[in-house]
Amino acid sequence: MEPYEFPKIHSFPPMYTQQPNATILDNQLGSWCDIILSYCEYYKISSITLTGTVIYSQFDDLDITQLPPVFENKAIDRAVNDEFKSTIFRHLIHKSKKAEYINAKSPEAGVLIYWRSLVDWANLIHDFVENTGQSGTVLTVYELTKSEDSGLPADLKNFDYNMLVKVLKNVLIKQGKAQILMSEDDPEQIGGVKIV
Amino acid sequence: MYTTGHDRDAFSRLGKQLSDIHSSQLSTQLSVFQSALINFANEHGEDIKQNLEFRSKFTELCSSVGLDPLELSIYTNSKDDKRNNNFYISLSVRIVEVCQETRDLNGGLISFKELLPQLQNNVNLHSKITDTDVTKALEVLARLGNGYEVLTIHGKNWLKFSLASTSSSGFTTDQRKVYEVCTFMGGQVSYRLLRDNYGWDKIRCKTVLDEMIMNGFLWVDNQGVNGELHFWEPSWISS
Repeated sequence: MEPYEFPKIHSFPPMYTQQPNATILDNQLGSWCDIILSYCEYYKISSITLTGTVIYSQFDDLDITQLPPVFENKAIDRAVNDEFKSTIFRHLIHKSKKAEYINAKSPEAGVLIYWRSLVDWANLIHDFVENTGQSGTVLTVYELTKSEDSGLPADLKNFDYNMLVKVLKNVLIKQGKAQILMSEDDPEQIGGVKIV
Repeated sequence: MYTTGHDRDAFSRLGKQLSDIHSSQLSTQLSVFQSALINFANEHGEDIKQNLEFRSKFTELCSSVGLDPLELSIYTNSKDDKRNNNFYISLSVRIVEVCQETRDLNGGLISFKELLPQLQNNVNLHSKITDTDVTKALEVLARLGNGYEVLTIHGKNWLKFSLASTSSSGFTTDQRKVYEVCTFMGGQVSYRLLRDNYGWDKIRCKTVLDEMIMNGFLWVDNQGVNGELHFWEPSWISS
């Protein structure tokens, strides 16, 4: 896979310093959010830590430790410090509303990145289930995200479990289109999903 | 064992008591001395003004006991019948100070309501500083250029200031020069570059650069070699 090509602004040295002018800062934060979203979409990254370490990518053959770091530019010897990283993520979460903490009580667990909206993900899942004639059937998480031979669309392959939980709870269940059964072995984990 | 602990407590209480007394005595002495100085300045204001050596000694004395000579000058000249030129000159310097201190927060626009209390912060004036006083003090500054301007918005006075007098395009000659350096330095400029090219001192550089940052003409980069600050023109991104 070709490495992600960062936009030109990623090579602009002051991008790595939090700007003192409030209007400029707002622009700067917006640019960082765009970079994060496009970077995550390119590598199909669904979650990332507040320091920019990739937690999960849907590409199972991708070595996520070898990706070019999003908050660093070695060519110009610049890097965003941790404090500013948090500010950027706060902007992405609260202003752009394109991310959420995996667990609001422990931000250090990382954030889910919504380069595709939860509603769009929900539609993908719903369409898949409907098109394969499995509406009303109880499906396992494996069948929804891993299965090789069930006509699972590439977009859903290796779908992040944390993201799946969000899509189910925040969209499909609220729309009355899904019911979940918790696992018997581990009551914290989803054992089966029924999509209608 | 119990007694020893008890004794130690008693000793430390006593020690604290003594040092409290001592420090309160000292601060009383200090304030007595300060007010003595103020009285002295009041009575001998003319002498202090006339005699250069005397004045510099006196100023030294003031700073060593935590009295701002500028505030003292405002104070001693603030009696209603004596609100003379010196008072307004001192006041204008204070205004410039306050404006600079608060510029990062307010972008160069401060209400009189906020400004006035700061002007009489540490000085116990005979009578309060008024809007008229500020207007008069600004007349002193007007002689140095038109960077300070009073705006009346909805019946309330505001002070708008920009340090370099701006031309009609809103871009000063100095700002233009900064951009000139940027064009031949790949979009960036630093204190060093301005000093080497134009011989500007640090204050002039800072004044121009701060103003340009505030207007969004420059972005700050604090990760240069040896921590040197660089300032970049944002058009670099689209060039």
